[in-house]
Amino acid sequence: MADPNPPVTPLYVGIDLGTTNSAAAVFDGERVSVVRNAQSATVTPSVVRLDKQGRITVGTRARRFLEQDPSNTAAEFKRLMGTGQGIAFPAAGTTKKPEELSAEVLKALRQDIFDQLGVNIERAVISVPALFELPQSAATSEAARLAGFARVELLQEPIASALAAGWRADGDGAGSWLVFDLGGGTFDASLLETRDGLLRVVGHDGDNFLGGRDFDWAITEHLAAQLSVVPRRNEPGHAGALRALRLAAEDAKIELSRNERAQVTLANPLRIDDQDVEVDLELDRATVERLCAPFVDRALDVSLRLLATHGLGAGKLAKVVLVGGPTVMPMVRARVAARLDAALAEGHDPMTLVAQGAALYAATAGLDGRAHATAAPTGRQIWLQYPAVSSDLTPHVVGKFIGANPPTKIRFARADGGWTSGDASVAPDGTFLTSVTLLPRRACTFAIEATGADGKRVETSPPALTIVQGLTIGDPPLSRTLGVALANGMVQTYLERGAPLPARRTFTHYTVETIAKGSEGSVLRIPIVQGELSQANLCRLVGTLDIGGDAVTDTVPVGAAVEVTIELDRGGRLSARALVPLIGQVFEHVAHLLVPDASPEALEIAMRDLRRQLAELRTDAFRRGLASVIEKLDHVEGRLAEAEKDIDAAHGGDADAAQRARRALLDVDGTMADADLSRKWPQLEDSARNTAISASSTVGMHGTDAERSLLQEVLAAMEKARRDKDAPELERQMRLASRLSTAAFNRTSEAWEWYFADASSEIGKARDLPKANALVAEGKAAVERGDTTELRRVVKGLWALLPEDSEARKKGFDSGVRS
Amino acid sequence: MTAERVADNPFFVLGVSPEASRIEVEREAQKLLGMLELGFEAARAYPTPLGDRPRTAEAVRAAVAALRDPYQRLVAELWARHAPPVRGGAATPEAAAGEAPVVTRRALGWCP
Amino acid sequence: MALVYIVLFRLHRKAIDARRLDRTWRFFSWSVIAGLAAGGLITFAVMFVALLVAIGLWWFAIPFAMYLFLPAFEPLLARHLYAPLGLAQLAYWSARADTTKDPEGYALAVAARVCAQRRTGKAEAFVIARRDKRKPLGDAEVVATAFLAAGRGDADTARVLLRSTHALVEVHPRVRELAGEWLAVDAAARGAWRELHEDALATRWPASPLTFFLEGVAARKLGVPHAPRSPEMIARWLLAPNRRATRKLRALVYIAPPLPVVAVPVARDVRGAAMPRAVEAHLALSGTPGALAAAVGAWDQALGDPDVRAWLARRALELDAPLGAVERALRDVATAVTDDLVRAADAARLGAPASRGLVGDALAHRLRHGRLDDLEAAFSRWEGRRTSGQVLPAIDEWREFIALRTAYEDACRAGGTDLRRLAFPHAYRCTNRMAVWLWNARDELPLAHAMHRWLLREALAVGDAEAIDLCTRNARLGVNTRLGRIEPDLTK
Ligand SMILES: Nc1ncnc2c1ncn2[C@@H]1O[C@H](COP(=O)(O)OP(=O)(O)OP(=O)(O)O)[C@@H](O)[C@H]1O
Ligand SMILES: [Mg+2]
Repeated sequence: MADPNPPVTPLYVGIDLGTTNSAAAVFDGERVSVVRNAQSATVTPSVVRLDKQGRITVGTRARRFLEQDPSNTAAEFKRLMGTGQGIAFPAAGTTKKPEELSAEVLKALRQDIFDQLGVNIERAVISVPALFELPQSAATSEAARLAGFARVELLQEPIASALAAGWRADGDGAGSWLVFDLGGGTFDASLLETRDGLLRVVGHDGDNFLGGRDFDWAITEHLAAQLSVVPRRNEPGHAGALRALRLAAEDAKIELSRNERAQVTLANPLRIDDQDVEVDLELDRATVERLCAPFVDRALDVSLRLLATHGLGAGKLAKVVLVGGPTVMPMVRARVAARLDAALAEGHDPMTLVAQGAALYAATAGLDGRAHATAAPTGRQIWLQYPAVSSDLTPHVVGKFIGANPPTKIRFARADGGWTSGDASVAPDGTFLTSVTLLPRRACTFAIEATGADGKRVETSPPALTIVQGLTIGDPPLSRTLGVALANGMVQTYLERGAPLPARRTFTHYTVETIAKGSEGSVLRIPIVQGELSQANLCRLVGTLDIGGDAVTDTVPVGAAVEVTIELDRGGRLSARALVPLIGQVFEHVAHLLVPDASPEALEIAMRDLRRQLAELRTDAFRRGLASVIEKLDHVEGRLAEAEKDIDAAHGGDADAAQRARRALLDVDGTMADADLSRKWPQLEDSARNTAISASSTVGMHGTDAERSLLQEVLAAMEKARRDKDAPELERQMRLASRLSTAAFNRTSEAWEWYFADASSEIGKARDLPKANALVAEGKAAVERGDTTELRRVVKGLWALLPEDSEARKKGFDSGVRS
Repeated sequence: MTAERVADNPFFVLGVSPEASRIEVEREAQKLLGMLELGFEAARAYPTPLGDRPRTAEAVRAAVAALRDPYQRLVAELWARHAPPVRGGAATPEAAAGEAPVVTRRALGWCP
Repeated sequence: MALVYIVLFRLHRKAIDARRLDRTWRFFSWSVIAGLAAGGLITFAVMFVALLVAIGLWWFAIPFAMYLFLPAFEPLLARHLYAPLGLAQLAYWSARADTTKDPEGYALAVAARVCAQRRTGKAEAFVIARRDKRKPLGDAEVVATAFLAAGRGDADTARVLLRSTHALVEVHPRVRELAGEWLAVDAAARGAWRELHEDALATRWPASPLTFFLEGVAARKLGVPHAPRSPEMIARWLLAPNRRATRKLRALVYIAPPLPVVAVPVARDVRGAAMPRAVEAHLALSGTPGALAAAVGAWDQALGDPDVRAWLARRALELDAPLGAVERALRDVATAVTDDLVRAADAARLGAPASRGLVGDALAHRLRHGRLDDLEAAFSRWEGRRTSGQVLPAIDEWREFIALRTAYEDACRAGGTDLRRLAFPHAYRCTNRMAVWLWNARDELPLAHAMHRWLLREALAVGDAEAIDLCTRNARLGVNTRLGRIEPDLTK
């Protein structure tokens, strides 16, 4: 919706805040133009340097210092957004948060806009990767605030690219598009569809850890292997040399997009293990292509997977839009066109397309970048509501005159004189509703002509309005499903992926434990998670709402209703509220979580754990000959090998690699759980059969009549559950059968001797060893006497001293609510 | 929940027929958002088979987003086309709760 | 002199105590005797005080008067003076002067009763402090907590807690009488005459005159045979306090015919195409088994209907929906509908109706597993707190147990013996551990005993031999309470 009083020519601003490069573009209703910086380049490297005096340098000039003074120059901080990790600048003696550094980049872009257009921008659209999670989005909004923006909206990068690519596309070329955005560190694939001038996101996929920097590392390793002393990534002492080599590799890669050969020569020799190593190597295009092809293929796999989930094969795409630096490489273009079997959209600048799209979106959202001029209105004031950009040729205009005695009639005259609306009557309360006719793909200005009751013309403020006809997109969609983890480990979905923002949803849950008044230890936790899976442990925890015993005015018993409302604003900021009607209290404080830290040590432990599980699953699957499971596990193996490399790099101090390893391990965990599940059923069936056999014989021999007839019923139920493939039911009935057979078994005297032997063998784990020893002695005597009652007492006493198998309830993030 | 499943149907929220074209849906939504923003009385409620329901800007946004997606629209149509006819007026009152109490706790000295 | 007083006093106490256990004509006889005794006490007290004043010891007369009047008039004072004015502390101390066993328990209930009528923060804090000092938890503490909840307007909690005292072996008759009166008043205010009448038949609570009168009203309203006749009703009314408020009720009793049997609305047979019928049945969904069954049947038919499928397929093509949209739509609608039905069934505690189809099968599966999972999780959590070392006050343990027990019983009622058998082992394991812990480590004998008793009942119902054995032994253990040691009678 547009503002009530737009200035005559609006200025819409879009910013692409990239990992490697950032760019800004402006849209004036007719044309999109990319803002050039002081070096008259269209992109500004996202690099920030802080020198001894605390002076800040941003962009190309800062990038030059990446090699000379790496410890005081930060790059790729976008990847740490939302982690809360500080970046140290030893020379200036300070630490900056990633959002503060991003704010510096935004400030620089804001200054460039001012230099070029003389306008101080207060509002803009900033693009974020499609798979950004809430803490990361929140950090981006925070960066904009720090950079002095009064209001920003976030837009997902692929939507921006598609909007820009589709804006001037010929006709209503209805069909599906793929935006293939391979950036510095992230890959996003988005399937979009345009129809009737409306752009719609059909689906997203991507890899948050795939991009140009993987190319660079592959080339760096290739180069390093040719040096006289080979630097290693897990060696912190080699980091400097590797960094220098990597920068050279990147330059060579970029050069090879244009030329066939490139020279990698470093002005200063590298110092590796106290030796000077000269670097003077040559690189040709074929080598680089060979090194980088696997990464491109991985991106293409993701793209094809995305197409497949939406029922599209290769060759069904109308167009592929290439975005991001690496897509400039001829090899990438060729490979994408070949494997997706689709035409590449031509004539777009892959480096600035995102910024252009963001600027166009600012128009759709009516987010005029200019600060408000509060000039005194010179006519009858009207509040107007109309779409600033409309795909519809005859949109509605809704308005309201302020004050008493409004004019009686109003009409709109298009500036080109080609069309004038009929007189619309104004209701006594000043409201009116009419529609205007636009020219296709043009910005149309309409003069507002109001007539008073006396038939005289009334001047209005504003005197005119402008609507642009073109491709539009709805409200920014939520990128990942948001929900609340429940006590049973499942997720209650609140907002689906793709839900328009802002959004709000309320559900009623019930507590599963008592919150005792005044007790600090008793806390009801409502975990808010993000992710597409219905099991909470496979989703990401993004915030928690705690209701503590010290905050409630009275004890809240089990089963009490809690109405939870989750709200997201257009910038992706999360707020949540829980109302406990029983005590009439509202709780609002959400602890926002950060993307968890990943220490290399913790990662290694997790890795070892997964390796062990993998080995177990694999042997088991081999033994049973489960081909599909083995296939899944092979894939897991590959991912683990990659993660291992990243953990190595993490030891060398690469925080980004650590994050990537963490994510990979989480994924692997999910896949393994899946594999485990498909393996479980045959196993379950087996054990069900065994249980049935043993229960039948024990109950048959020692059971009462009632128990025997009960067992018959249970066995019938087990058979039914087995036929229906109902695992939980089968497990339950099995437990019942074992219970029956235990009861029967316990009637025999051997039973207790057997339990006694079993319990005494675990005595090392007992809580109170002397007491346990005494019990064992008593037990031995009882066995000799053949005193079953006494033995029973002893065994129970021993059991009480042994640790119980505590049922781990960590899977639901310790949620205190159920649906 | 049960009633919401029908009353929150995007077609009812936007007040358009299940046959409406995409453009008509967009146009109507844009108009309603404008009217809600300016506080038009006429836009405040919408009729459903269960009587009038309050209309919010959020509901309109969610409705139009749902109808843009062909799959979601299909499901919405399945419900809207087979629902009883819409009607205005107040929502059906909850079934009258038994007989009015003849005596209150307060009168018997057991209530604040 | 003193002897006369003591005799009269004893007589009065005996008459009241005997009256509580009765709900026949003897209630009146005991009332008359109590009234006479009270009259005697007053006369005696007045004479004695007059004597003291006459001999010039008037300053001595005041405490004496207090001492003599109080025992007989404490309930009256509590009802007509302390409660309306919110004098919880005064109510407490004057009830403390009572000579029954464990007067503190009674005093606590009386003070809480004041809070139920006139709640002040100070009074509440006083009651809570007194309550938390007492250990183990018995009926007086539960009743006091209930009254505090009632005072805050939370009648549901109060009702549940008061009813839960039935499972406790420690019985303070005067406390129970208060509880019974609150429940009777609450039932009358809700018009829940059936509930009130059933309580009366089972003599769950000792009757106060007000309870007795309201129970009479309930019997009359329901038109049960042997309902008290009009003269008796007048007598009951005269005995009860708050006559002005209950006059309307008495008048009603004369004219109110027995309530006609209300027919359960039967789901309408809607004819026409399958889908509209399903939507209509869905909208008509209510808490009755008939409506639920009708909706499930209608949906199973609609979602399996070839016409509906054909319509979907055509529209999917026209809308250019993705491949597989028809199947997905049917599945998603079934899931959404099942969600609603599960919620409706849970709210009304209904079982799954027998209908085979997308919705019928899913509903049966979800109700069964959903309920079992919830129960297991809830019991585990309760028990898990013990091992995690988080100790809640006894009253909160009790409330949690009550909530779990209710959930368990609701689930079993909806799911039948089959589900009960599946739910029992886990509930048994957790509750048993909790009960043993409460008994051994926390000395909350009455609570633990109530849990053992409940477990025993359930074990008998599902025929779990081992559990029956253990629970019988546990439930047979004598319980030490403030009223002395109680040897449980398992035959009751
Ligand atoms: N001409 C070129 N040929 C090959 N690679 C290039 C070229 N120009 C830039 N790159 C590479 O592209 C990457 C940066 O791409 P881009 O600027 O699109 O990323 P970004 O938008 O900053 O990152 P992201 O989208 O992940 O936030 C760098 O790895 C860089 O080396
Ligand atoms: Mg980018």
